[in-house]
Amino acid sequence: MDSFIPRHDGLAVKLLLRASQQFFMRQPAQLALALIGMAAGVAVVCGVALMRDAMIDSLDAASRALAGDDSLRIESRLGEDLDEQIFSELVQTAGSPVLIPFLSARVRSGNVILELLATDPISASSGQALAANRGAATALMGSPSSIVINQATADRLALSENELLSLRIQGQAVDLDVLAVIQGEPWLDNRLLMDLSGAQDILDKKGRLSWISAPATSGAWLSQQLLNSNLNESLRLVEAEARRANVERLTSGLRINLTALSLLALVVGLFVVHSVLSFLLVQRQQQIGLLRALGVTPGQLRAWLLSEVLILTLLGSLIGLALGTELARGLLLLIQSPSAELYNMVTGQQIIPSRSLYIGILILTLTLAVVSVTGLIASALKIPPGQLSRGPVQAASKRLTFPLALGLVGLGALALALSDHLITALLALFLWLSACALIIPGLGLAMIARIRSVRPFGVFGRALGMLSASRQRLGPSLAALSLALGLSAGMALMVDGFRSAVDDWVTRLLQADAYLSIQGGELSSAQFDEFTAQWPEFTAVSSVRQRRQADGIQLIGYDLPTEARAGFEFVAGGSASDWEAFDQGSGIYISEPLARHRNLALGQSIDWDSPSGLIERPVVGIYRDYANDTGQIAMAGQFYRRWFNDNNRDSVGFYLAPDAKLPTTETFASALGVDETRLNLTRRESVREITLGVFDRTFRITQALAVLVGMIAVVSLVSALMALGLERRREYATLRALGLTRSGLARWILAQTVGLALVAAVLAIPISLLIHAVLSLAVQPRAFGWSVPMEISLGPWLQLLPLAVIAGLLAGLIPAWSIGRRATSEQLRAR
Amino acid sequence: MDSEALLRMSDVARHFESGKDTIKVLDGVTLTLNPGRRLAVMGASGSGKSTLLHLAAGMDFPDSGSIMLDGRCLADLNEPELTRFRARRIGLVFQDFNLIDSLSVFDNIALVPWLIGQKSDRRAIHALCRQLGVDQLIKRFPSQLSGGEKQRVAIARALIHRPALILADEPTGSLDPDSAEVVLELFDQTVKTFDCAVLMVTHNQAAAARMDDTCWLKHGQLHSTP
Repeated sequence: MDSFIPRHDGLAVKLLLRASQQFFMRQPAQLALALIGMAAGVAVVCGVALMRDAMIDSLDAASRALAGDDSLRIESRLGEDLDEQIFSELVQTAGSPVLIPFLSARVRSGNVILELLATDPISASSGQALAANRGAATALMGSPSSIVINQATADRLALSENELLSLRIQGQAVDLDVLAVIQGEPWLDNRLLMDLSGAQDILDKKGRLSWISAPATSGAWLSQQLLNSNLNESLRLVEAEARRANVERLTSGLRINLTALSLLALVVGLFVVHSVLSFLLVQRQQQIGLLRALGVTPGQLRAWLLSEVLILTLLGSLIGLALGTELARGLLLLIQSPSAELYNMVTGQQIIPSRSLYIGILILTLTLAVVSVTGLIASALKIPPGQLSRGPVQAASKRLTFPLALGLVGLGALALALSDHLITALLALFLWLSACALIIPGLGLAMIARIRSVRPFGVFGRALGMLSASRQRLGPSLAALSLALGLSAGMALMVDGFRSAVDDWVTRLLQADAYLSIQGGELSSAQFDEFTAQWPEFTAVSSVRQRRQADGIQLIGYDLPTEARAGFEFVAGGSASDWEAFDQGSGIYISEPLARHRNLALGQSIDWDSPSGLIERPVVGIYRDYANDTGQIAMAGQFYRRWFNDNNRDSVGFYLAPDAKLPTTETFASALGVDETRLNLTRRESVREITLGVFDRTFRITQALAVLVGMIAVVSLVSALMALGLERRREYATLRALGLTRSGLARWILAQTVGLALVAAVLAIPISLLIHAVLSLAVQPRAFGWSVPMEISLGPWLQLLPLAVIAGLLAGLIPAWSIGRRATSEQLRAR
Repeated sequence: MDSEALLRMSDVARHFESGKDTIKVLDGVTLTLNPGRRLAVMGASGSGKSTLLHLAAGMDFPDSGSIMLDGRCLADLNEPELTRFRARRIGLVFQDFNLIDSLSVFDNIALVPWLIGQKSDRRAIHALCRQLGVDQLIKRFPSQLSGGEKQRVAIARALIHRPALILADEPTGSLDPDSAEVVLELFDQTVKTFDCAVLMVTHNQAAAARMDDTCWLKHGQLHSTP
């Protein structure tokens, strides 16, 4: 007898896995559902992670490629351009290493934002980066209005060698000749390599540089040189690690937000897998009872089910990693616009797959999958040996559901209250969604039973009534579907609410009737004074001058008439006495994100660098701002000019007298002595539209993620309902035999699938509200620093219901067609 | 008497493809069943008894021959007509019971009247369940019943709408002798009261002996002796 009993657990598990293989081959829909759910969640995580890494890598890629991975950079401490004289002096000093000068500017070709990167071609091509293309690089020297681009950029711009690229620079149309298109060199993505002197001419920056790169080994020498020349005050030496850290800090809000959303998508994917596995467990209850009766031990059972989960997760994850790599390319395209508009950075186009990232995601997914099925495996172990035909005892687990859900809610609230960190907000959200997953099955099936009891529903009620007795099968699927739909709608609600908040903010901010600026230039104090004194059309004029520090904080000098002050929406301070302090230069205002990041309150001081040394002032007001998630410091214009020795203005705002007409662009151009094409004269309404356009482009990536999660929801809904339909085909064949016509059966099945989808959609509504609340009131402030009033729009909910109906129809049509077309007797014989 | 035949199968043949082979399950079956008559069909496993019942019920279609039920040729009816005709005129008892798992006992029985547009007569359902000894189980679900209980519920479902023809596949297979006797007695009463007919497939000699006639299905044809 012993010879018939497997001696080793491994052998028994191997046999059981063979049974699993047969089972899944006969249940291709369930297998597909599990793989799709897992693959989709992993794809989103992988895609966002690769995109995020590519974004960070590409921002400093040019320097690292041309000057070495650990190159140093000499920059202005105040974020300004450098005098080229500094470069000349350093190069001529004894012992000077190879220094490479750079001039960088953002330019636009149509809707594409590019970086014009100019350097000395000889020294740039001495390194590894252009080793294969030295000829093309050095040829730039003789062609001041030519560029070298890589193939990826050429494809994006639809250009070939010897064609012209049309740009607009400072209002002027500029054509550059494409001297060469080189292969590879991903650091050149969306960049135009140009000769330095040619670029200085085009950008009207003669004698100016953006930074100077130097080899890593020259740090000590350079530090000494800067100290000797007394340039230490205005320059600084930045290491590669520090540059990377700076970029990471600047973009952390956006990246963390996207990562959080991708992790939520993974959680939804895991819920789908969980629902499939619990569905399969219910189907195999008798098999498990039989196996236990035949002698399979709980340990062998546990090993078997765990092995199944790990194999399924591994397969789904591998598919997901491949899909995610492709997804990353698309996401990188979406992030280009917000990177340029929010952070003044140009990102690359190419994704470089990372083995360590793939392994990390795989380990994370496998771990989460095992954790998520722990409860299921515990349930399977409770199936008594020999349970072959009666239903399982459920009372104990049902009793635990509500207290467990309450416990999760409490834990989440505690996490949120105890810490201000973004991670705790996301943890709270996860715990609350888990609580929802526990109570949704009961709620949903109660809704279905309620519909059943309303007589007028007829076929609909009866068909749904058949579902209400299938708690075990439907509960987990219903939870997964509602969560996926809720997450998609919740993200859309958050974006809509945020957009509304931004719209309100920008409408309030724009108090002037029109705004004027000069492309690539500024207005002098004299020009500004003329507007205030000599133009009767204007009752008042405001102005702004700003600069960005190396850490991303904007310093802004405001000249504001009284009527402009209503543009500030204060969350703290801003009283009449605060405005007095502001006007006198004894106090400054800071934006809400800066206050949150630095943990600053009213009365506390903040300092900043200036040519006249470190300036420190107390905060007398904190105002709402959505333009810069790093932060702003606002000061009275006269003090800005004094501290920075800078009398110019970036833009002016005009307050028109009653019945006065706004002068034309030609009039302004003539008065300012500037080419008309360089003037930007924009009415208030247009500025609002431009701002909202930036917002829409920035959130396109979030909306893309919301759509992806929505697609996971629809695919899993369709697959789950199809599996349900196919699993019930014997019941449907019985109904056909007893007298349900083919069309009647189709209506019956569709009533079930559409009804279930609608119930999932209705349950998704409160879930979406929860997600919207956490994202808007907790995640946004912790990630970006700004507060977002929680506004609710009906759009996402109105989209949920037709989406659910379409998914329900799709899910019902295939089983209805498949079952209806075959002879009833054949269906009855099938197992 | 042929003109009064409730069920007439004339030279019916049915075959199935199995890979390259053709299996002739029924090969020229002729059968007549009049109202008020009870016929048992016996035969070895796999002889085609269930196929015969499925053809009689219009759930499958012969490769040749004709089937008339209550004066209507089944081949002349389109799918909805055939389905509704079957629902009204036939009571089906399946070999595997085929109860709907997600409907209670009461709803399983009430299903058929609902399908043919009749109002559920609660008293009639309760009375029938009492007769079959399943009245106490009326709120339970099939997963909570034993094999014998399921079979009696399936029989109740087949009889509730007073069909003209009862097609029963092993209706007493899972029953103890006393319960089997109750079922057969119920069939007798139904036949006498409503002048319907019974075509029963069975392995049970005692059950077959209660029928008016018995035939044996061998090599695709019906024989009057084993």
